[in-house]
Amino acid sequence: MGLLTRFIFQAVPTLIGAVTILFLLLRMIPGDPAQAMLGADATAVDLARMRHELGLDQPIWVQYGLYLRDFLTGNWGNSIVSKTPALDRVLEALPDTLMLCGMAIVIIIGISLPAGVLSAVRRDSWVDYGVSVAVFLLMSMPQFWLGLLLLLVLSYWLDWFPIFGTGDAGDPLSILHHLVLPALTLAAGFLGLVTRLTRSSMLEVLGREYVRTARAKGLREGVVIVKHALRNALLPVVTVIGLTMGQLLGGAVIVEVVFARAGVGTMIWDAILQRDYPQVQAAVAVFAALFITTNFLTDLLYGLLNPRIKI
Amino acid sequence: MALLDVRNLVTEFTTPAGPRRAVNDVSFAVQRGEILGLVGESGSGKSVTALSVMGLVDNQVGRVTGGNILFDNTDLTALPAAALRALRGKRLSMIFQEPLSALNPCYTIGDQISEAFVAHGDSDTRKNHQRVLELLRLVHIPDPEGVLRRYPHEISGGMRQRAMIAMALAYTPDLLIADEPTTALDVTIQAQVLNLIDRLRRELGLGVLLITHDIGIVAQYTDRVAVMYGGRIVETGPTAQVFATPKHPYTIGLLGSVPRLRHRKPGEKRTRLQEIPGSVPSIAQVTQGCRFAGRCSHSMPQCEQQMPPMRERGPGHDAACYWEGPA
Ligand SMILES: Nc1ncnc2c1ncn2[C@@H]1O[C@H](COP(=O)(O)OP(=O)(O)OP(=O)(O)O)[C@@H](O)[C@H]1O
Ligand SMILES: [Mg+2]
Repeated sequence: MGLLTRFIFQAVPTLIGAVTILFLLLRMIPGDPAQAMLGADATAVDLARMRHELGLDQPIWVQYGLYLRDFLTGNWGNSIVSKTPALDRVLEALPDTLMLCGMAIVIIIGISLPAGVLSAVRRDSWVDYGVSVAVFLLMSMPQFWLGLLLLLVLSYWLDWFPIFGTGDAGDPLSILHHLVLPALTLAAGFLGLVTRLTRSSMLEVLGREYVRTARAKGLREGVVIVKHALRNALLPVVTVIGLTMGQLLGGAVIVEVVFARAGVGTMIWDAILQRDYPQVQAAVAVFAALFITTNFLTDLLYGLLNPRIKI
Repeated sequence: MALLDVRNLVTEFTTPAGPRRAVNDVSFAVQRGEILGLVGESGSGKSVTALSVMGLVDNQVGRVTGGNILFDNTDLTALPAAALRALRGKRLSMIFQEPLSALNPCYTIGDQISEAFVAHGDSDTRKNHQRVLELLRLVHIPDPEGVLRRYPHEISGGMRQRAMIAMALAYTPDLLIADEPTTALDVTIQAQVLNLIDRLRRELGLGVLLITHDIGIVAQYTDRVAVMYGGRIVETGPTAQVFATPKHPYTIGLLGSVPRLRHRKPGEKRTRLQEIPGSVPSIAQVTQGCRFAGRCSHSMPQCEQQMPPMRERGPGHDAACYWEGPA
């Protein structure tokens, strides 16, 4: 079976499952889209007409059946609020969110990998102890608290980074400047985990016989560590970073809202408050698809990195 | 002047109970063009001795704490790391016990061999490719072009071991340490590999330290033998003489545990040296006297008190035992 076929066979049922759960959850939260749209002083007649227009007067399984049919045929509906196609709005907001998550991944890899490798290589040194303490603090601190702390110190006191917003469109420096703090907050929850994993994976691999063989050949210590040890130690780390990517999407919702950034997260947040069901459904479906895709890509990468696995 | 002259080597490991000696006051020499056999039961300290010579004892858990390792008149224990690294893989190389775990699963055989050239400053890729092919032919690997591109898990145990040997021979070393180079192989291939090492020794004048469990291999391939027990060398001498008139009860036990040395049928399982009652003491057990005393049928009160010193029993034949031997 081809790679693509396998992907589709796994992805489609997962996606349907995800949107089904979402559909039910949305109907379980209290509130009425018609009411939300028309305001508190709407008449009963207006409300009834609105509900009928939105199809909300149908039994729930009929609503679900219609929704699923539309979902599978690619007709994801219009936003109730903006009246424009829900999917288009999501795709418009997506780059900002992907940039945030991408930056967070860069931070995770850029900090956790070197820190984990260093503390494994210099095991039981003060570097190792320092890293261990940092990992412990990061892992025991709630993410929102750390975000507030970062805001307080780096923005409010030191005034290094702006507190809110996405930055001026078209000015990469400004965008990057606005990106640092939210990305750091988003990454923070995973820094400890990935550092610790890298360290233990490296320690295990450094004790392997092939590392000794590499030294026996007269290779430089740097080559031994990076080429022979790290390459093998990365295998479990890659898997975890891949899974992290999925969780980052969830974290991005909160971070975007807290830092008042544009993005799919903020869109989901607003849409839930406004009971804009089609918009929430489209956005979350895109997130689910992204999640499934990153997992698939992670498996693929793992296979590429590990010659013992046939892809 | 010996090629390798190890004097009073001590190697310690950190254990929960404190530092413990895995190699204790070990001295031996290897001449150019000579094969010295190092035998002993599992856990007697053979591999640790070899790793100490290579400077490859994992410094997180252990280190060489005493003695000198003179390689071509240079003391390796006093050598800066960079200088030692320049020797490793070029003039000093080692074949490891388990070829599967000693090869990196992520790189091809060709990459792992040519890497040795790159490490020593020869980075001409095309030339290295040719040299790797030559090496693979030297160790009788059929289809060298194919094996070159394979990963370790894709070739047989025999091929892996030969690839390991090819790696160790990348530069013709002066000293080759072979730690059980044939354990993973069947008897026919075992003989091929050992004959290859023997041929290289004769043709290129290599000094070889051959570590093995197999008394039959020692008898057939080595010039001299050192018998190791509990971190010490208990008997050493010319192989023929030690085998004809063993002096140490442990050596006698070892030889006795291989009853049909000359009559082993091809394909028959190699005899493991486990027929002496009891087992090698763990390095955690510290003893004043001879470490074999507890298992020895000739032990005397003084054996428990003081380690018997090495005594000459014949020309070049020494044993560390108070017992005078069978009358
Ligand atoms: N990394 C280590 N940490 C602690 N103890 C070790 C370590 N490596 C070896 N030892 C101990 O040193 C002793 C000698 O081990 P060594 O590997 O040299 O035995 P060996 O003679 O090569 O045995 P085998 O025939 O099984 O290969 C053993 O008691 C072992 O437990
Ligand atoms: Mg061994």
